[in-house]
Amino acid sequence: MKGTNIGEFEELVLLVVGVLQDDAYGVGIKKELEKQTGRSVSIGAVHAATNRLELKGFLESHFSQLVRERGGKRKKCYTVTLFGQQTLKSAMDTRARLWQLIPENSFVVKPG
Amino acid sequence: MKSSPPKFARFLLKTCCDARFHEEVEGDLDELFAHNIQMHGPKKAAWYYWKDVFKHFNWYFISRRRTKSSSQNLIDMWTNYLRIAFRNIFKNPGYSALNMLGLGVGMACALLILKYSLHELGFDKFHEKGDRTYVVHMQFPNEEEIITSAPNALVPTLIRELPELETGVRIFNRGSYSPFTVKYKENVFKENRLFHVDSTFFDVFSFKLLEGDPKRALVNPKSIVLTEEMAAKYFGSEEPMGKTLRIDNRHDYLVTGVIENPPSNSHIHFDFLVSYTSFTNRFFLQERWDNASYTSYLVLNENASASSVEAKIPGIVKRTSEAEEIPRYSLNNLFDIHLSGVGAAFGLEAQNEMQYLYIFGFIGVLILIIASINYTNLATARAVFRAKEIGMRKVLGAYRFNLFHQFMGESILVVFMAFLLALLLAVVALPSFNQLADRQFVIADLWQSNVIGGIVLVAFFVAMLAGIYPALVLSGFRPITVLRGSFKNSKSGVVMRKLLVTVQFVISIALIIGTSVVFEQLKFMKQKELGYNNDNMLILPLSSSILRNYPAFKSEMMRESSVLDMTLASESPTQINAGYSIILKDIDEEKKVMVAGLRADLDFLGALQMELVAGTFITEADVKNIAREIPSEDRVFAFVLNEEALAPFGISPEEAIGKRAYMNGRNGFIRGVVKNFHFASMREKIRPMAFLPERDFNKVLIRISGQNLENTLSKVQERWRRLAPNVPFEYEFMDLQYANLYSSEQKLSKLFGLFAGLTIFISCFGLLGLISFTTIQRAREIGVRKVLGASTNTLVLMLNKDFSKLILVAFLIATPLAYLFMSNWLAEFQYKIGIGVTPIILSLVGTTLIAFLTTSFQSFRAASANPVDVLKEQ
Repeated sequence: MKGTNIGEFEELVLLVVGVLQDDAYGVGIKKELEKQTGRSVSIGAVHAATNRLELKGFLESHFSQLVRERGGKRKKCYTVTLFGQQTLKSAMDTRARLWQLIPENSFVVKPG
Repeated sequence: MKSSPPKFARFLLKTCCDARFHEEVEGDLDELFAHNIQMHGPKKAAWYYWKDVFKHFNWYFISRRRTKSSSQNLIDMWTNYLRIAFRNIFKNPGYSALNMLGLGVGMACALLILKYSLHELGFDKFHEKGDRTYVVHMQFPNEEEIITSAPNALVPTLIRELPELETGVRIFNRGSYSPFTVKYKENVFKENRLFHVDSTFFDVFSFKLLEGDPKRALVNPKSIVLTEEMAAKYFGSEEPMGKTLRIDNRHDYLVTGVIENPPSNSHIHFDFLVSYTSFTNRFFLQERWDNASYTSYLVLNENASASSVEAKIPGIVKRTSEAEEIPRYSLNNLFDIHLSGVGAAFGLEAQNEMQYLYIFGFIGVLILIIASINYTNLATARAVFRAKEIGMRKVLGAYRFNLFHQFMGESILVVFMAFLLALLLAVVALPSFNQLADRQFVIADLWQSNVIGGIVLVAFFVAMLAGIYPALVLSGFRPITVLRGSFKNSKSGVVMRKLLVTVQFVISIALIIGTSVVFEQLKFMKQKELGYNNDNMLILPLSSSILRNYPAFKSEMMRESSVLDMTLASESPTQINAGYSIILKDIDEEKKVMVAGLRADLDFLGALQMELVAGTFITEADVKNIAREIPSEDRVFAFVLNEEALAPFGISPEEAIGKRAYMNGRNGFIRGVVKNFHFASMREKIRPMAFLPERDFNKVLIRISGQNLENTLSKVQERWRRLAPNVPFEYEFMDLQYANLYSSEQKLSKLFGLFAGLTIFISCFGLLGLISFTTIQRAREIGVRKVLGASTNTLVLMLNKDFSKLILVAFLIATPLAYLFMSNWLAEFQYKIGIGVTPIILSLVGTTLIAFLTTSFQSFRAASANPVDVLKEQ
């Protein structure tokens, strides 16, 4: 099925949403991503990714309570759907399997 | 938050971003902005904000994805909008009528102006070779005057010598100063639009020949081609081809062609074309360089350039003409003749000026603006009544852009209805417009695709212009405020409306001032002493038969008691234009002054009541000195100059008498000096002129008594008929002829008057609409005031005060503007008025009065209403 595959950035966003729990909204995701990966991420990219992921069914969203500091705008908070969790899991599994298939001494770097 | 994100970036985001994402995106951006301000300072933060906004401009956020159901809804919604719009129109028929009448009048003006402009711009465009057809002008070195015709040798010589030329044609028009007598059986008329033309006429111009062969029609001597109109005039229902017309009672001409009447947008208007070979006089037939009476057209080859041809002319002329002084010849494109003031030598045609087209167009735009402002004002004023509807629509889920579309749609509807009205008005007004613009448009002319297309475009533009502000304001109402309770128009809305009304009155007042200045100047020019008396002066053509027995003829005519005076001249004094140059050898051997020349009879000065400054007028003896019997080199000419002609020589009139003078081959002396008199328009300074003693006259001037003009005229005519049966009694009044010099100013004054009237009329519609809304809104206030003892008069004054202030402000803005424009206009005149206070006061009083009357009607009604009626509810 088209859309079950996710890209690297999308995978990271999904994972970060999982990490952040209640605070998983645009700016929060951006900050966490920057913190974890050390690269600068634009808010536009985050929005594009979250919206695409939502459309594909990996994410769900709800608006938070009114907040004062954002000029009265509500936060749009994301949670990872069951489908999203399965996809993440299968992506991780695929990688783990692949790692295991690598011949013992061909990599200098070892997994784990 | 200390500072907020860049407003425009925010606006851009709002307009572009899909509503579903907008809140999330903007919230996040704001938060980041606040964060960035602390980290990097406001400048950087703003820069990041902009960057982020642009990064969101991708398909996801911009596209407005519509669900399928909305397209169904769209039709229903628009049906609903239309229904509501119609209900609103019919709910307030009065206001709707005001609105539409204003817009309708505005667009009708625009339609007529558009038609006129297109017609003027399309002049001569029907000539297929027009883009490479040029009329030749010449100008002698060191002289200002441009001569719009050329020697008859020019065209044939150039065609022989220059391979760049495809063809060319000479047109000779004697008719304007001495008409032809054309006769077929008992039909005899004087005709002045009879041109002698080369046989190549139809190669150059694309006039349609209905009968006859364009290649052959004008080849043989004594061939004549006449227009349909003339064919009907002379031959009635008879077939004209092959018949003969007798011209000047001497020669018979064979009709070789019938031509379509020249269209109204042709710069050449002729009735007859005669083959050039019909000339019998060698003076015409020989190619000569010592004349300049032939309007000359050249057609260049497809890829030849006018400037290179122009550059080659002097060499060729030098070789063939052997003259010492060679004029500069210039080529002027056929398409430019009508509007650029280039002109061709057809004095009969009033050339238009681009300036008047601009004025026309400018006024059209002004009127449209005023009408649009009316719509805008009335629509926003009525917003109060629509507020609840808007609130309700929003509550039920309408977005702002839905409402925006609704109100834009409404304005398009109203403008469309006004457009239909405009078509009707334009058709009704067409005859009077024709008179004003001096054109002959018929209703069918309005249905041309370019006119209708243009006006539809204009209407669409007006709908946008008039509708956009109300649509923006109305769609921006917040449901909570409009539904909560009593809703009043916002302050900014009121200010905007006042501003717009002021703009309307600025335009109106400026136009009124303009009108009165033009009127004053016109009055001034008509009343200024001309230096001669042109009242009740008839100008009639002269024939050789009258001239032969002139003394007897005159004494017979003078026996009629109502004929007061009679004289002869080469031209009417309003049409002196023959250019001579004069040299006074006693003063300066070299100095040459251009003078206009007039040949006049000995009693001319007395008959016209002109004043002599020094010397005498031409005498009997002077005439004898230039008699035919005397060999030409022994003739001595007596000249009478005007004061202006002496000015360049710097001598007084008394000194000038008896000084030797040399004028275009005539040796002579100055016999007298007359006081300056206006023989041309007062745009120009009085030019140097000279009276010549030759007895070569074209016009009879008769002064008749002004009492019982009609009766007098018929008596004079009777006598004329008896004495000169062959010469038609086709007279012109000299004062009217003079007034005709100002036809364009007269046109302008009428135009200004009309448009000033229209603008004030339309502006008052707007005012009326506004005041009626104000009175409705303030009905309760008025009621309370009345109960507390205010009188009707004070209330009317109170209501009118607001608008009076606006008019005063408008007046203060309009006056300097108008002053500037009108001084500019007046600068064109050598003899002019100063702009006094009269027009300014007139405009102030006029506008205030009209506006006061308009508003008083409504405010009086409101003020005199019974307070119980407005206060009982609640």
